[in-house]
Amino acid sequence: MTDLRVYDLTSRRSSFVVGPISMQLGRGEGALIYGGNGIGKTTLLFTIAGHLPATGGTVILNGVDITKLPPYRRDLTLVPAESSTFPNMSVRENLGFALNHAKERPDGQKLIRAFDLDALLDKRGGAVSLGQSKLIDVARALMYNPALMLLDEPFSHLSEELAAKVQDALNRYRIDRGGMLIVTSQARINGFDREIPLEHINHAT
Amino acid sequence: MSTNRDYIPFLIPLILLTVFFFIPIALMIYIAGPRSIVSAFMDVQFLSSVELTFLSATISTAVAVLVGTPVAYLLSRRIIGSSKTNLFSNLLISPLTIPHTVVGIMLLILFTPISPIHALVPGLSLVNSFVGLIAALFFVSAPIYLISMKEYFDRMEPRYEMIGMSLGASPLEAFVKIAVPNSKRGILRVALISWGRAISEFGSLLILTYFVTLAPVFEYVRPASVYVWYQYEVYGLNAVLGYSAALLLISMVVLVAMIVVSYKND
Repeated sequence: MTDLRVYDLTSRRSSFVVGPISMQLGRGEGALIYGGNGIGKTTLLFTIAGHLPATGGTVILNGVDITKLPPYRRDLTLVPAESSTFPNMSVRENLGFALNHAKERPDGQKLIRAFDLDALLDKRGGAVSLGQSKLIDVARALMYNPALMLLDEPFSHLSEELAAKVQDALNRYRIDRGGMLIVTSQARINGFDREIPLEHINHAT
Repeated sequence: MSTNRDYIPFLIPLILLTVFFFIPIALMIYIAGPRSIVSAFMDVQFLSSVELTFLSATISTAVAVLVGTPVAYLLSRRIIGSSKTNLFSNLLISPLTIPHTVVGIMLLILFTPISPIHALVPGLSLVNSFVGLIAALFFVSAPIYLISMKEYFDRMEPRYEMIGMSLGASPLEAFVKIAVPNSKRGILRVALISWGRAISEFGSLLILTYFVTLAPVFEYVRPASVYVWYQYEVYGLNAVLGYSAALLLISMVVLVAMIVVSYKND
């Protein structure tokens, strides 16, 4: 079970500065951080994921200070808002890529069935629709099965029915395996332990 | 084709450029005439020169792809920091500014007794050797590959590699399994430009590899550009027209064919 602690985290993307942000995510907890566009939700996720360097503060995941670790050693994954299905690989290879790196392998077949991906497995990653790509990106992240999942607008481009499937799968992951942090501009998505407006944890003066 | 008149200021230089490049090419072929071109293609020595040139240019380009692609990626993603990236980017393209005769002289003296590194590899010489030919072609064409490939990676979003690393892949794995396969098209096209540059090299070869011996394949074979120059120097303009036109045709046809193939594979 996952325990995330963020202390006074600051980051910048070009001249856009975010933080200091402090927050905690208890074991098996899922939190939804929401707020309008341009307030730093994505920058926060990218910094926790290690794709942007923290300019200050600390990120501790399961007792380990990961602030300076590269993304591939953090035992977390990021699902960005934009489609990120590898276009050079088939959907099967996309999922396999994540499964091969998983420390604790989940039941891949079960996930494929849960997301109705059977028919797509042999398609190229570059040949799927935006909605399908979103589904594959989330399924791929679940195949990796890390201690912490960071998701940026995971329900965009998804129909209500698909969004419910994704939410179910994410909830199962959260209960069985790890913590989950979602950022979104949609004010309310049901089923999360906590909903946090970003301005409440961003202590910028 | 209907074109907006407002674009005439752009179309005029397009036509001028095309005329500037293709009139000399067309005239070369016209003046040489079919007979001399055919007889050039029947000349075994000339064909051997072309074979040597194409083989060495292909090997030099392959080495540029192998070594240059990871370096271009490293510099594009600014992994070593901005100031070091700028320093190495400028350093590694600076060979482009060296006159090619000087490149020939530099490589000529590299392993001779007057060079301090001669003692380290006493048996090695680049003069009139196949390795020397590849080294010269690499020196003049690899910087073009490097800078063009860096620009290609600059335009390519790092998102996929980033997510690959977020799924546990090391930087090398993300490069090999994600960045390279997604830039195959760019690598091929940039390699073709670099290959075209290598094929056309003359200055450094005149000094370093006036002829090449690589037993049992090549014996005293001149690189194609040197062969044409040699014919001109020894036998005069009339003798060289057929060879020039033949070389021009081979180079252009091969290059255009490869570009067409690369687009077909899109």
